[in-house]
Amino acid sequence: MGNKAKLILSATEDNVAVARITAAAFCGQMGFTVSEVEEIKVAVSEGITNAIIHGYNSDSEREVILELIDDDNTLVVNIIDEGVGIEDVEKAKEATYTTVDGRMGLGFVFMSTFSDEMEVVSEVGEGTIVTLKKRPSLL
Amino acid sequence: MEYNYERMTLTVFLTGDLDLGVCSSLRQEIKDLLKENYTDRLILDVSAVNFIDSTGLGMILDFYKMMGKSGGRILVCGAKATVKNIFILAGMTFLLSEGGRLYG
Repeated sequence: MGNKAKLILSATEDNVAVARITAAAFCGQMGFTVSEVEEIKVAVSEGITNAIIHGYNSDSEREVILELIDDDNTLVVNIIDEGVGIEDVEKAKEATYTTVDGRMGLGFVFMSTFSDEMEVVSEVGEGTIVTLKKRPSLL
Repeated sequence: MEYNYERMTLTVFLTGDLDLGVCSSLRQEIKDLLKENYTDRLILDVSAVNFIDSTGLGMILDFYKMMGKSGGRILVCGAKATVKNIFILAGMTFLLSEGGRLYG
């Protein structure tokens, strides 16, 4: 197992940027291209935003965990919340499905498009773990 | 936030990252500006925006819907490659313009 970082974030709107910038710095050492780093930034933003808005219903007292792992040159991102959970994960992954007004419903679409693999494990009332994996294309 | 109002069109110059941290207050600021200037013609200049995610797109789509209801117009101009890429992925390129001219 290579490099690792774990960030515990208050579920505040401003921490979406903190998570994204941390992820960009972490994967900056892994050989990703500039545009791949941009993709990772979007994917992490979507995951953290989902945890805050949907998982915790914007309750800034709660905490979101961002784990970054360099697993033999594969970036593994875990976004973990202990919020309300997702009733129907497959439905949540569909484009333009959203439970909150004024939202795009594109969070999972962007996450899966901008990573090589996406896994969502969720339990209603327990929380959600989103795992994203991405390898640098040039390696 | 910098903006100008001429020829019945409000141009807002957005900066920074259009994500959840920025958009919740920005949405209201732009709505207030539209109201103050009695216009429903809006150009969002994003040439100084380095990042946008689905929350930023959602805000822009909200304005688009708002304009549609009142017969107004909205255009997004100056998008950098990374920002443009997100618009393409979301199927929202119809909002983009290179020159920043608003017709109709």
